[in-house]
Amino acid sequence: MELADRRAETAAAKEQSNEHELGLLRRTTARDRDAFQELYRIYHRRLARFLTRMTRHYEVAEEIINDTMWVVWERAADFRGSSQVSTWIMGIAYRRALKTLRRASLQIQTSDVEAVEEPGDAWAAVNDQDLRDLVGRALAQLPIEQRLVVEFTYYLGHSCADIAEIMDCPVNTVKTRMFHARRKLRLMMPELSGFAED
Amino acid sequence: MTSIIDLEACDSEAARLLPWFATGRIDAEDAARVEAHVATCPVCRADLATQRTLHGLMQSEEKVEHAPQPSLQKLMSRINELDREIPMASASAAEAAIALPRPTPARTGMPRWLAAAVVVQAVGLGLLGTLLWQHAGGRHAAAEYVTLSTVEVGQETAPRVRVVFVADMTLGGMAALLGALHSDIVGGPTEAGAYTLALRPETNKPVSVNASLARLRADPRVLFAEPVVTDAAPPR
Repeated sequence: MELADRRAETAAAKEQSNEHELGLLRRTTARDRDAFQELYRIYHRRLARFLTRMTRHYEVAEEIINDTMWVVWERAADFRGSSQVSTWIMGIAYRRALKTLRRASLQIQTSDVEAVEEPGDAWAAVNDQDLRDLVGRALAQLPIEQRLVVEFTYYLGHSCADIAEIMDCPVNTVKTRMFHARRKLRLMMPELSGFAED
Repeated sequence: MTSIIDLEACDSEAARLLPWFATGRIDAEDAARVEAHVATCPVCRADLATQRTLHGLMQSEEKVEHAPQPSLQKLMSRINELDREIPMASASAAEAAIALPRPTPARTGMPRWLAAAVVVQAVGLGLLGTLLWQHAGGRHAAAEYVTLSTVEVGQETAPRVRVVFVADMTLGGMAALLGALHSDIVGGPTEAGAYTLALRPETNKPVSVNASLARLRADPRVLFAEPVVTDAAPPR
């Protein structure tokens, strides 16, 4: 019952914010700069943290955000309303980000991110901050598509169906990517599974 | 005690939906299915706790805020730049050669505008000189070098589109795309990276700007494609 209430509340809030964003997008189609700038601020907040986490450099995140929002400015009229505004914009951001991340993946994996500690070190993760650091490093070890599914789910709070739309792939592909990601994360972080508590 | 191996034992459909059950981003039917399964499956019950921990950790992560204004200003400058360039590009080459800058409200970006106007004027003057020379009987001396941006007679009246390619677009890729579209580069790249293309008609077929735009937009190497609207008659 509690879960159902939470779900209904989330759905209502999502609907309301979609209506607001739809209004801004319509005004953007008419080249209304104020509406576009409001939309920009909404998505900058949402994308900046997420993309900075992914790229580890705010400057790169900023470039992806501006490329994304430029497409939104130029192509607002192409939005047909068959999906949520957020799904449409996140889909554009996903394609821009994926391209950048693929180009940079070798550098990110070999130089910017330290390897996950040996199990002995991982066991020493005693507080939430240590665990968060561990999660960050473990996520960085995942293939980009698997990591993005985890980020879209837990960090940005998208449903499985939304993620399939954003990534332009079948729902089953999203589930499979998540399944593999979970399995790898469990192996890299046994303490998360409650194994350490027993 | 729950082991890592045990956690991989359940491969039910409900187990695959656990992450979205943990975040509450799941429809009612699937939620009921997962709920019923978790009640009877200790493996998934333990895994649900893990997924909730992961969700909680990622949600509670220290959130460094970046002020949007500086990035927004960069983007608005790019947009204003393009908006100023499109009316200029819509004029014919001859018009560009002699047109005075359009009166605009005073902006801080005036030096960039002037620089762009000088470049367009220079290109236009060169083009005008070429056209006049050809009209004066020099047509027999056809250009020896043909480039991607070679301008042919008649192009100044051809429909035009403004295009921005991805940063790593190759010259070969661009040439193939332009060839397939029967188009030539007649301007650019601008500071914003935009090229102006003139669309040539195929034999016995009129130019379809919409069809060309659709093809350009469908190409993943094209970031942006818009028609150039001719909104001003050349001054005579």
